[in-house]
Amino acid sequence: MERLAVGLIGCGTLSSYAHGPALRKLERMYEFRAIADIDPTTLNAFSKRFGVDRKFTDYKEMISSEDLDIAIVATPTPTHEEIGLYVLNHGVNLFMEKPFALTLEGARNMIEASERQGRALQVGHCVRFWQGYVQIKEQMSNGDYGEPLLAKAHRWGTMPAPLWYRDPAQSNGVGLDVAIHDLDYLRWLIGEPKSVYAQGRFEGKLPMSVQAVLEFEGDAIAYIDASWDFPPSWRFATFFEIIGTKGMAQMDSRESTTLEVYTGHTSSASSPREDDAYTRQLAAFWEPARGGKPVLPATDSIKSLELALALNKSLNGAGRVELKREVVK
Amino acid sequence: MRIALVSFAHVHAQSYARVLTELEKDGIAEMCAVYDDDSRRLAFARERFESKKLYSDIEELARDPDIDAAIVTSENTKRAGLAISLLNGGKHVLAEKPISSKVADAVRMVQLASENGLTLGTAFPMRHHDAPQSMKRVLSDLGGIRSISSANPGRFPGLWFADPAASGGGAIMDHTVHVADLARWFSGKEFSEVYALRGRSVAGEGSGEGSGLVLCKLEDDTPVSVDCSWSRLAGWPTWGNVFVSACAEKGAAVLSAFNENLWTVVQGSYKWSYYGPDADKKMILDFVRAVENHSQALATGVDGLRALEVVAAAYESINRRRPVKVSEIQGSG
Repeated sequence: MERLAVGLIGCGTLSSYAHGPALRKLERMYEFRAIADIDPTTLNAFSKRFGVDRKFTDYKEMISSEDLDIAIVATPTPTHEEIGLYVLNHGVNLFMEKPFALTLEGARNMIEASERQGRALQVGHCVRFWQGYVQIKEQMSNGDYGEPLLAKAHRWGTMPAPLWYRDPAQSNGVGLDVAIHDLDYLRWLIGEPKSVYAQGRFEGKLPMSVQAVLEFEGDAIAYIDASWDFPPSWRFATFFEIIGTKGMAQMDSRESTTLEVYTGHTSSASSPREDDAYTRQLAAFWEPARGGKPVLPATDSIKSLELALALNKSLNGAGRVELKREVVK
Repeated sequence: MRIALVSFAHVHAQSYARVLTELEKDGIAEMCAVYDDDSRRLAFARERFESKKLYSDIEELARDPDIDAAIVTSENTKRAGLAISLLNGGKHVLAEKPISSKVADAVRMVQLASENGLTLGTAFPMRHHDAPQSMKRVLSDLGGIRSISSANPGRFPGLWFADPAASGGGAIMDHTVHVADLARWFSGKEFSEVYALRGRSVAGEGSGEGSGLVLCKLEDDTPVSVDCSWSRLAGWPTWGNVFVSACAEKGAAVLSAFNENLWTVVQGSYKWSYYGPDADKKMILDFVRAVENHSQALATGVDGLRALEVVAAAYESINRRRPVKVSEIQGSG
């Protein structure tokens, strides 16, 4: 198997629990060649933890000197467009963390650059690789549930620590950052929605929780609930339910723990697995990065960004937002 | 106290009759009469409650001096008419939820109870369930409520529940009020705005509006969501549940009120067998004590009216395809 050289830009929380471990598991496919982060402390800690010696505080230097096949970008959202374009324009395949970009224009520019340069571009919609969600999609396609009528998705957590999340201009809040996972999944599972309406709680101008309802072509309606409003003792939780004319499915992360650990006054609960979604989504990028067919085309992911932006518009007082079909070319 | 059970149309009447039988053994209250406008149901009552008085004319029952109070478990659209006759006859009333299918009728019920000095309660058993009661106390120490997400998924109840002529709607009319009332009770705030979507029923043709997603705002803009869908298919191990998750300034509380179940297999099928608190019994006891003390039930007629306003605003929102202020439907039909 041809090993592709990978550089990681942004060595924060997500890279520590998702991309770093995934690259270590995928040694047969990828050589974890170099890392970049503007913060030297973060960079050095990550370098030590994952044993990657080639490290850069300037990602541009890494791109020019390391002869990479792939760059994974896991930086704050407002930097996605600039870094993404730099990566693609230097002929490197791009794995971009979600949300794709802060604006539709930013996402469009990256798609154009990838097409112009003939390089692969995949957005980190990891839920499409999450086993329970994948199984629901399979059973739905199989006709097990009949026609979809009602879907519900919760994604409940605490406020992420990095300060840029707190700036509405940089993160756009919980709608763009968190609800986008379930918006993307619902598009995959059910199709394109006709309308969206959202309400939520704001801290200043920052959306901290969002409750949204959507109407789809056909008879399906859906509810999405994303929150950063839970206290620090809360354990991140997801819930999904699909009701169809012939059957239903429900899953709740709080009910699917496979390992609980108790040490002194702290405890943890998880469902560890070798082939977790982060590993599967990076493995799925190997073929497209070698010129193969995209598993998750960026032209599809931009529609989820468009939907998240429509949700945000409603959340910010626009009321019911009707969605035009085929807006994104 | 002598209580009449007015109509066995609503499925909850069975549980209330069971409670009244228990209260009779305890010497607290007696189910002294049954009314029904359906001859088959009245025949059922005759067989099951041999010694009770049976009525098929509500005015006659309302004039019976031996009856102190009535629990009205009729179809939703008949409830206000029956309750108004009873209140006019000087009977205290515990109205099944929703208190009525129309806001104006509920307003009339509240006015009449007040004018005649009678107790009018709404059957919101969740206020009497120990877990939400405990949650209310917990939340009072957690600072302001920031958001509430709730759901009352249940089975399609069949019968008349999806026939708008009898129910006044479908799942939205049936299941919104329990959790909307809890949100109001927990927060101490009134609802101001509602946006809603309705969905087709999982039970197939002829079952009408089977699901609803209702997004509400409290008067201080606190977001409250309600899933009131009949979304538990046949084969699900229990009837449904009541979920309320509330995030507050200093913490969060997550309610799954009907989680105390044995996981059983009986005759080859997997079922949950509930062993949690008996909220129906506590609710009827509260009503009996309110009547005896000439006071208010824990959930009053006004509480029933406020929850119904959310339902009315939800239907108006569906018709107009926009959020609707609760003030727009107050005082209307």
